[in-house]
This record gives sequence, structure tokens and C-alpha cells, in this order.
Amino acid sequence: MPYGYTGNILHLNLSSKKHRIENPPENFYRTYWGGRALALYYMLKKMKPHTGPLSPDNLLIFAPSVITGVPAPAIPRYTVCAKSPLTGAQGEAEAGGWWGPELKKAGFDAIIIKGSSPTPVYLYIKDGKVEIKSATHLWGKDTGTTQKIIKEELKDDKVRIAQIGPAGENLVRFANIVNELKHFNGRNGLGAVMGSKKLKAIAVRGTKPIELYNKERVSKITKEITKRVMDNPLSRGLRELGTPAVVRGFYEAGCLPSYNWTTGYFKEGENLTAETYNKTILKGTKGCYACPIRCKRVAEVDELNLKVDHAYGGPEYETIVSLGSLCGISDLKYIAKANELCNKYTMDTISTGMVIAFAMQCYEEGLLTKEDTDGIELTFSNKEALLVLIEKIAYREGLGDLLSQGSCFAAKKIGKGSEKFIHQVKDQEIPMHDPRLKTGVGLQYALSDYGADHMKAAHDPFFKDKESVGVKEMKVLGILEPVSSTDMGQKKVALFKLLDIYWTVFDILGVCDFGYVPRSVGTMEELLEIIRSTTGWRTTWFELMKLGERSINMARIFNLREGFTSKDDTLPEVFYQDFKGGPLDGQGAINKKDFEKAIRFRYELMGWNPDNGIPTLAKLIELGLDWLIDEVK
Amino acid sequence: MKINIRLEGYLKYKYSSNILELNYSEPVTIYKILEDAKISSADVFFIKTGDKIVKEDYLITKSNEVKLFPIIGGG
Repeated sequence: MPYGYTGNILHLNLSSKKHRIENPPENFYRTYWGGRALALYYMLKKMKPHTGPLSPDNLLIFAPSVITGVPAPAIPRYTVCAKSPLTGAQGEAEAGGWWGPELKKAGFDAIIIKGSSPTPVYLYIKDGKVEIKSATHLWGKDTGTTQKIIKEELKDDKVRIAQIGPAGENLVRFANIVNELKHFNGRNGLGAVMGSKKLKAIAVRGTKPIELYNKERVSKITKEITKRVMDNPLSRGLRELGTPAVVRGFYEAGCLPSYNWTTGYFKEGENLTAETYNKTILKGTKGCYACPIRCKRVAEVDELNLKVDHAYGGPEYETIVSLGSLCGISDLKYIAKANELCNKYTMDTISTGMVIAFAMQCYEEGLLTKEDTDGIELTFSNKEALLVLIEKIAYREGLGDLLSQGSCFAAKKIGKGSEKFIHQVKDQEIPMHDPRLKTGVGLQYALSDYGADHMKAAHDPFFKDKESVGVKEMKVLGILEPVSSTDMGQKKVALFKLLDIYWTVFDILGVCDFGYVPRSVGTMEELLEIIRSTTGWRTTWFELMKLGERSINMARIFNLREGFTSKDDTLPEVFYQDFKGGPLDGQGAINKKDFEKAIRFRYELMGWNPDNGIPTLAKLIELGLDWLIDEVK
Repeated sequence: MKINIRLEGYLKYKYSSNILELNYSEPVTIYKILEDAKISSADVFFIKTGDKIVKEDYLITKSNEVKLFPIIGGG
């Protein structure tokens, strides 16, 4: 009897409307575990190279893990994978909420979707039964309306719904997928893949409990972690200030991404801090399935000319900056409104902010005129323009149509040197953490297999001092010494090899980075014991780290097949320059040669050819990926 | 010489105060101030005094405010 997982993987073809259920053996689960590892197995086995991301042959995979949904803190997450329409690489995004655990309770470990329906549909899965239902009446509707209608027609308020809004339907290349209106598979444009398949939503409902190997042990560890969560200042900070707490440090230091990365100095930064947020727009906080931290912000605005519905959550740090200071905007109420619109239409707020900031800079520099912007005065700080442009992107109208394809595409079309105003890795717009002060984050931006992402490894400051939580609590991985946040030497590179793999394990298993060390209070030993007590497998961190490394190599090979090379493992040019303005003026530039050396050394540490970043045969065999050897010959 | 230490973010929870006040009769490094205030440098990412971001070896020579910002992760 399987513990933790159901043993059922649902394969659905939306072209033929047929489905089948696969029952892989235990060793399959023990090799791939779920999430991106499981998804990449099917993407490499079942998808031909150079499949169009928006073609029916792209696979869209929803994958929790063998432990997703265990009633323990911070393990609610699931992954969506497909070839990304934004990057052309393996696409991936994880989300919290309740949908992942509900899918497991409904009887499935993953859903693998191929084909495309001629008319809009949604999928309804209840206790092992699968139905494809018409969504013609839902097509074009925003997420709040869609959720309400589906719950009403299924006569079930407890059904959990992952869905796309109009941006996904309209194939915006950074459209995302949302569950419960506020938990996002945010990046890589996977909502557009869902839209290309005419799949509006997946509603799931399960009444069977997830079978655990040792329920009492899970319960005991959960109580211990929960007690510490309530007492610990770091967890209290997450609960009371949330991710917006990040704003103040960056703003006061002068490294808050502003005006499309032309400066880190934003003089109105006080208006964006967690303290201002709490005083002005915060309605409350929410959490995910079985998590006591409750870090998610809920915002509300109720003014005559500006209303923000709390049902869509509230802006987190990335959103506050990308739709705020990055566009020169310091009005939290407008940022909350912009966030609400993105959430109604399902657009990644990072990419949305980045393409709008790019367009604003083009306008300021005279590369775009009012003729190009449909008459909008698209200057930095124009908060009304921000809201209008979000609508235009979602519905692909005028300038919004151009921006809906991402900043790289837009810059190529605009030309006139506008390429120097985009900041991306593998065509994905960079997040709001400046690697000039956290060089490990920069390594991860460059090496991420799905384009720049800030959640690809724990950040450098957690390892800066011998008393740092990362150094004290992660010795089991061999992390024994501190490394400075701005160091770019071999010890930093070696540390981030481990951290990349470690958080990749989190992604695969559906573990939230905010639940366990170094970002929070759950220990590595406790997490390992939860995994063991859920599955009954006497696993170790050695086995788990190999799992993470396996998936990194699988993604590397997927991308090699699609034509990516070591030349794509780069950083935007802006980070090789000093900060301009503010307390860090004239400091901070990353040395490009040092960075290139670091990348090469990382390849060596990974067991990849240092000249081209291709995994060696020995590495593939070590990881049980001998079935991929032909791909690297 | 009066030094006000302002604790930001979760540091105010960890050290149970927004502001700590210390007095010195001669110039003092940030390192010594942190030690005297029993604040672990492992918790601190940025240190700001006036308009400057400084390191722990920075010498303070007159009454001033020292702002401490906590380590910052993803979000």
C-alpha cells in the first residue's frame, strides 16, 4: 500500500477527450517523487524537441509530490510544468494554497494534459472520477466570477479551483495560473499554455484522507514546529509584516529596484514599507493548507474612485516593487489595485511590472510616442497609466498587445536600441532582488533552468556569519563556514550549488521555502522525519539531494535539446555597473570576469563540461539518467 | 556620546524593542555597539548611520543613530 501518494497519474488528451490512469511502480515514485522531477520525466520522454509551447503537443503537467498535503506546516505546494511560451525552455512554477492537497485527496498524484479542445472546457475531478465540462459560458470571465459560477454549478463551496483569466485565454506570454484567487503558479507563462488548450479551469474535490505511514509522528512534529512558529521572531515577522518587510531595508540602503533598474534609490520608499502597508491597506493575513505562519497579505481599498477587493489577496514584496518603485509609483492603493487586476486576469506581476517599466523608459527616452501608446502619457510615476496598461496587456489591445509577448519580444519590435532597457535571463524578466548585494542570487538568476527567479536558492545573508541560521542549522549538507554576501569566490559557488539543489528538493516536494531552515524555523531533521513518517521510506538527505540534482540535470538536458547553451547562463548588463544615486552610489558592480569564472566553476562542481555546461555521461549515470545519454552525445 | 540603535523588521521582535540607547565617552565601532547591545551580527544585513551604509568596523565619533536592518530573503 502506498503511503503519502495515491499511485494514480491521470493522462488526459483534450483533443480526443479521452483519459487514462497510469499506476507507476513504487520505484518510479522513489526516483522522481513529484513536482518538476516527475514532470520533466514525461516532458523528456513524451515531447519532441522544438514542440511549440502553444501547440497541442506541449504537455501541461500539474504535479504535487508524494508528501504534498501531509498535515504538517508548509507542505501544501504543487508544480505546474510545460515548455514555457515566455522562455522556450522548460517552464515551471509552484503554488501554495489548497489545490495540491485537494488533488491528492481526489485520488491523483499528477495530471498530464496533452492536446487542445476546440471549445473552452473545464475539468472536474471528484474522488477519482474525471469529467470534462463545457466552459463556453466562462470564457472571457475574470477569476472571481469564474470561481463563483463553478462553485455554484457544482453545488460545492469546498471545491478547489485552479484557473486562468482573460490573460491566459488571450495567450499573454506571462499569464499565470491561480488557485483560490490568490495562490499563483506565477512565472513562465504557463497560464498561456492552459489557454492554448482552451482549458479554463481544473476543479478538484476529494474526501479521502491522504494515507500516512505514521500519523502520530507527523502530528507530534507538527505541534513542535507550530509552537516555535508562534514564538520565533522570524516567523512573527513573516506573519505581522509579511514579505513587504523586505522593502524598508532595500529602500534605505538604496538598492530598491526603481525606474526600470536605472537606480536603487527611491526617495518615496517609505510609502511602500510594511509599516505603511499595515496602516493603510492591510485587511488581514491568510495562510495555506495546514500552515501556521499565515504570511500572505490581504489588502482592501474602499474609496469613492478606487476599490480593491480583498478576495484577490494583496501585493507581496515582488509586486509592490515591480508595480511600484520600478514604475516610479509610490501609491500603495494603486499598487494594490494593479495587483488585483493582474490577479483577476492572471498575469505574473513581476513580468507585468517589468514590461510596463520598460515601456515607460522607452517613452521617457523618446523611443515610444503617444502615437504608439494610444495617447497614454506613459511617463514613470503615472499610476493611472499603470492600470490602463494592465487592462490593455490582458486584452492585447494597442501597445498592450506588443507588451503581452514579454520585454524581449517588445524590444526586438521597437528596436532603436531599446534592447538596453530590458533586464532578463533566458527571456524571463528578472525579479526584484539586486544581485549586486547578494551574488549567490545572481548565480541563480543566471543558471536557473526556467529563467531568472529569486526562489531558486536561499539568499546569501542567511550564510554570512558563523552564527547565521544557514551555517548553524545546515551542517548536515556540509555547510560549516560563513561566506560574505558579496563574495564571488569558489566557496560561494560551492555553497550555492548545495543551496540550488536543496531548494529544488523543496520545489519537487511541495515544501514552502518559508517553512524550514534557513528561512524559517522547521529544521532539516524535522522535515526529513515528516517525509519518512509520511511515506514510510527510510530516506536520507543524501537521497533527497540526489533527487534535486537529478531534476536539475533533466532540466539542463531539456533546455539543451531546445537549443539553449552556456551563453544563456548570463546576467543582465546592469549588474556589471555600479549603483547610481542613494547611499550605495558608485559601488556594487559585479566583476564580469569573476562572474564568468564562477559560472565555469559551478559547471565543474555540477559534473558538467566546464567549456559548454553539458552534463557528463558519468554524471547522468550517477543520477540514474542513463536513458538520457543519447541527448548529450 | 549617545548612540540610538533603531531595530527594523523582525529585529524589533527578536530584541524586544524598537530603539536601544547606549552611551560612550569615546569613539566606538559598530562592532562594539552590537556586542554591547547583545545583538548578533548574524541577524543584521544592512547597517545605516546618517545617509551612509556602513560595515561593522565603521567608527562612530559623535552622537548618532544607527539603524539595523535584518537579513533579507526571497519573497
